[in-house]
Amino acid sequence: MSDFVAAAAILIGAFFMFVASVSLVRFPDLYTRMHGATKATTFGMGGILIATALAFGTPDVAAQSMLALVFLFLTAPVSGHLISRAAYRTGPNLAPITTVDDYGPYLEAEKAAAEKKAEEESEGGEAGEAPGHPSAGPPT
Amino acid sequence: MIQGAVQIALVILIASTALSFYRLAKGPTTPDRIIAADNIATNLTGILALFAIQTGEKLIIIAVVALTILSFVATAVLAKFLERGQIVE
Repeated sequence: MSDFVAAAAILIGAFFMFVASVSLVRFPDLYTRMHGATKATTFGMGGILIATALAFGTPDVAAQSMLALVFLFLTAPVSGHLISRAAYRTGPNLAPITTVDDYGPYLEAEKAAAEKKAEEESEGGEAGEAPGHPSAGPPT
Repeated sequence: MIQGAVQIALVILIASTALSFYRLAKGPTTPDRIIAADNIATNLTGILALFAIQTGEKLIIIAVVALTILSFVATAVLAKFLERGQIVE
């Protein structure tokens, strides 16, 4: 019984890993690829690691498998988020069929606010320091 | 029965690693390549776990845990390098 469940989990996990790679090849832009690869890979590795825990059937191997599974479930969404954030900030190569882009206006507003703040700070600093210390360099 | 399932799954995982290598070679932007490399690392982790079942070697599972953490660190560092241009500030 345990062997049967383990074999089924192995096959399901391998299928989902294959689906993740197919999505990596077939999808049109980075964000859809990231979506497909991250989610399906997490599920596939979950199946395979549960299968290792069942196939060995000893507590130490089960504990190590569950440890790897917990790390994978914690880290895979974080790494996907980090990559997509870095990719959007270095130049969003969105697919032409994209209809909703919520992060673009947010990022522009954030950038405009940062520029305004920097301008105010530089103006205030020059007005305050220029009369009293003409030879003073910029603060390091 | 479980050995047959492991062999079928190994073939499937090697095929999916080959598909990821296609994206790693072609990928138009750098984040595409990072995602493909991350996917290859996860596929290798799965192959390692299946290899542990096939050979009955318990110690390989520890390598699976280590490789999971290592692939996350590599991906996070590459993403940060891509965003800021430097890793340690």
